[in-house]
Amino acid sequence: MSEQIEQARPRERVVVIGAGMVAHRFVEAMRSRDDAGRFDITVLGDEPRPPYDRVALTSYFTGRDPEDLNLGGAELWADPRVTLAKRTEVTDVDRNAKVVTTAKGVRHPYDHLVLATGSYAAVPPVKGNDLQGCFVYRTIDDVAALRGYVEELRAAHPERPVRGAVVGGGLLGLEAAGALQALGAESTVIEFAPRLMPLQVDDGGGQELRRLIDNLGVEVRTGTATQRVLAKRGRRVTGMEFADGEKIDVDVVVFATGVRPRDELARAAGLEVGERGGVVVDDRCRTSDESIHAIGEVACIQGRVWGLVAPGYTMAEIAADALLGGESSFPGADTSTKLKLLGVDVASFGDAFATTPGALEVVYSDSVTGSYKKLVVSDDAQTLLGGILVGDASAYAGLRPLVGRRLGADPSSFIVPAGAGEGAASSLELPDDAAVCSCNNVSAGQIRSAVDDGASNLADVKSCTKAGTSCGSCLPIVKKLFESHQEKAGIAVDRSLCEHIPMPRSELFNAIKVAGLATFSEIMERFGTGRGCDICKPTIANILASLGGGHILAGEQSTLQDSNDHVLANLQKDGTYSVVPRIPGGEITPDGLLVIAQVAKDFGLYTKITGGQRIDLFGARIDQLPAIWKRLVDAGFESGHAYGKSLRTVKSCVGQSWCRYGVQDSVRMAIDLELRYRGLRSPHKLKLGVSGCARECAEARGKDAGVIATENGWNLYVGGNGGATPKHAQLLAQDLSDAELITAIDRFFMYYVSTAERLQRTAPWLEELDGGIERLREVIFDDALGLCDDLDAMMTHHVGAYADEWREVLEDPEKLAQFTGFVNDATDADPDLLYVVEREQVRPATADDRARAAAGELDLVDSERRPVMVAGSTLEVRA
Amino acid sequence: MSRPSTSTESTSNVSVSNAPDLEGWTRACDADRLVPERAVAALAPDGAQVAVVRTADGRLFAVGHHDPYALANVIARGVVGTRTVADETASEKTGQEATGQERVVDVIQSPLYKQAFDLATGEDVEDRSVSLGTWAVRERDGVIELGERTSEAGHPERTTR
Ligand SMILES: Cc1cc2nc3c(=O)[nH]c(=O)nc-3n(C[C@H](O)[C@H](O)[C@H](O)COP(=O)(O)OP(=O)(O)OC[C@H]3O[C@@H](n4cnc5c(N)ncnc54)[C@H](O)[C@@H]3O)c2cc1C
Repeated sequence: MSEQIEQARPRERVVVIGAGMVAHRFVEAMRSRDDAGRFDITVLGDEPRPPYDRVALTSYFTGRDPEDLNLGGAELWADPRVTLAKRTEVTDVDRNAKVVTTAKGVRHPYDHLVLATGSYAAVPPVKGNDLQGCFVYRTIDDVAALRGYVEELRAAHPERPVRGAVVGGGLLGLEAAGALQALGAESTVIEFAPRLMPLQVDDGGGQELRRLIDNLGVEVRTGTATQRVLAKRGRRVTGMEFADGEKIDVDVVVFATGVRPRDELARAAGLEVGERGGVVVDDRCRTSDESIHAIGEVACIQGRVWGLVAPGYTMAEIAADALLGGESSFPGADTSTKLKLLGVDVASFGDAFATTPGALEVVYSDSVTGSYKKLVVSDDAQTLLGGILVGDASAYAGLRPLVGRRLGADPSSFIVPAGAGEGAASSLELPDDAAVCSCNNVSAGQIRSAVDDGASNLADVKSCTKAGTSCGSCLPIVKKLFESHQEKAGIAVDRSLCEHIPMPRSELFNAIKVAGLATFSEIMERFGTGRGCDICKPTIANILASLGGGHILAGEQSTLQDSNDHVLANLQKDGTYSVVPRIPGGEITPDGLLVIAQVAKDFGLYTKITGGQRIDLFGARIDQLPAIWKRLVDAGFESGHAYGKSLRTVKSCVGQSWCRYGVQDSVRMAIDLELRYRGLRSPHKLKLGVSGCARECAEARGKDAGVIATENGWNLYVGGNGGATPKHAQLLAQDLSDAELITAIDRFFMYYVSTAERLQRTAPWLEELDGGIERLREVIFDDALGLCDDLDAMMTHHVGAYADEWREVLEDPEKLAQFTGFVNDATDADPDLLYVVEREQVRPATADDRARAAAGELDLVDSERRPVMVAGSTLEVRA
Repeated sequence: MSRPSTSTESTSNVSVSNAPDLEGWTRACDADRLVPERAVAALAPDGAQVAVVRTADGRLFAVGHHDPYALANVIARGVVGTRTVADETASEKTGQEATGQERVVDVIQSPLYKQAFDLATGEDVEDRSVSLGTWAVRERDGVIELGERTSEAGHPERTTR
């Protein structure tokens, strides 16, 4: 019966104005909770793209693809109940008719309207603020325009740096200064208040922040009012003038002086707005019109407008809940933030300015290491109220959830000295209701229940709780909670490699290297128990090979290899192997092709071009491998290591030599790289790509290391892969020379080889690396760990010691002896190997094929490609 | 399609006779050809393909070369090692009862889908109804010899081919 009612009731129309971060969260909440399918949702946004992660806007300048910022998978926007209209500005809300009208005159009737129009960037009323070269910093279009302008200036004035100024020394201003730096422009930050980030940090913190930012080459002027922006001739910015009359030369000005709610539609429709703007809503996000909700930065809730995403997300959940008949209401929010601005950590949380009566401050300041830390505690020094961290904010994740709780230890022990603070915070047991992730409102208890419900790794916890998926500042604490709860729940956090080796691969690698051990037996005696298995044996063989342990089939090592490495070929489902000669960079001569073709033909091998620009020959019996390789090696080919956890291929486009767009010789570079890294054994396979221009035809960003040519050299991207969970590689460095590129890849590979887990590809390795890509940059370019010499030496050793594995096998009778079908019958080939001829080549016969052959319905051939008799009937093979 | 020859350099130094002697034993290979912890494939007196292994401590085993899951003759190319198993299943072959305790067994692992088979019984350690079958094997006068089949193979309900 209820079904009939449900059907009879027409679906309710929800119209959302604005397609920003909070609108996205609202749609997601509606779709995950509206099980009955009551609502159709239409989202109208004026930007030319789906909602994206505005918080991460600055990553646009560090090479992130704008599409990577998109929020909501394609599924959400493909949902038949959801309609997203881009480039659609709403210009009118008719509350009586319950219709909104777009700039193009399209009318959208609604039953429920949700205002999620966010804010616009405020431009102060200084003269000249509309000259060419003035920008704001709010949308992808804004940052794209800024980038375009700076690049244009750079091209027009190659002889001098582009000079930029940012008006506003708050969070946004420092982000913008970072963007200018990333674009290679000089930057000056101009702040009216006497210190930077006046809303987040106190004077002490502001001083330290200024010192750190000065050191980065950004000029800071505090206590300075901007009078006007100047243009000498025409409409292009050439300078600016301050209230004291001083003038400076600048080419670009970014205004980052705050935001104002986009409440103009609401005003025009007669909805109540706050004194300082924002659509007034009650605790359940309802405006003065009960069919209209307002959420996010446009809403004025409990008397104020929130310029942060977390309270906006909470409002999105509340509005969705209200439409679905729930009663939840706004619990209040806090302004806690942790940011990395220009690479400097800044965190501010709770009652940062000690406004609570009787509040005490504990301050630790160290200008030598560049850190300022302040905790605000209650008058009895027992309860944490808030704090400010500048320079080193590692304690933030642990401290923030403790706000309002008893510290249980001397407050100073949380901040002095560095390192101990983390320890003190992490040794505390967070109560279940402590909020851990403020962006997504996830408590410690929710993390724990995720573990109880079977989340077995950090990625699972993140995807089922959403913790750490927005700004990521809470990840260290989420990880700790996850691990300690797993341990407690008796789910041993077993990091051992296998039952024989009680440590993960990363530790084993280091242990073997430091102890200088070179054989499996010694390693097992020292670090393991028993005789090993198919996990630890190949892993140890792989580590020994990475450390330059000689031929992989020499002596005891031979017994450790898995089937592929043991015969230097790839095992296929019927027990035969495939053969892949190396074709560096995918470049091959017609004569080379003829050799491969003739081998394939003579041995009746199924032939296919691989995704890595080489040729795979399938269906070789183990005893045929040496004869096949003899012919290939004689013709100048060498092992392609398709069978190893090692470098596979370097894919390239044709590049400058032929392509009219190419700006560098990508094929030459691909060949150089392939010849340098060939044979390098690693925790998982490694692939590279080299593209000759930004069109990226080699799909290099889908590789572990992707190289893309620029006018000035090469951009290097790392940590990409295809496969089941595709990942785009992230930009590591720009405009490298040939030599710089090779050094960077050398170090990246060797750092990965030295520290990754078994079968961990570079993408998840980078994701788990504390500090991510920035940390990697520090390790590789600034030698932050003092490892560079060692990494370089490892690679030099690898390059010097390389020898073709197959050639060595062919020259060594002892190794050759392993390639036998049966040790006591050299003439007998496995009679169970049967093939069907299909599209003029062979493929293994299935059980079904065999049955059909026995019934006389299908012809089969054997491993010599001769027609076979099955169950008494003679079969003929098609020519 | 032309036909390549079957004999290659790799097998030329191997004795070709595998006819059983009067007592039913047949030569597999010279003892020093058998590297500890790495199997070789050989033909048993009954014509079956078997995997012959010597473990690090010198014991000899012979199990079927045919992978009952993948339906391919590949077992000899698997990694040899040990596995600690909960002794929850009774073994029909040895008449052994389930003890519920842990024990360490010698195993060879399929190179295709990685099931571990007990070298002593030929059984899949996770499903003891599936088995490779076992053969008698011995070393005499520096030669490894294969004898008669000592247990039958057991097939799984599902295969992968
Ligand atoms: C560089 C930068 C860094 C930031 N860093 C942080 C941070 O570290 N932490 C944090 O919490 N917050 C940060 N913020 C703030 C955060 O991005 C905002 O709080 C959040 O985006 C607000 O979401 P919203 O959906 O309310 O508004 P928005 O994301 O601005 O979305 C509103 C959308 O509505 C559209 N729109 C407006 N009017 C109309 C109309 N009439 N018709 C159609 N469409 C319309 C707008 O174009 C926009 O696309 C940062 C912001 C910036 C710019």
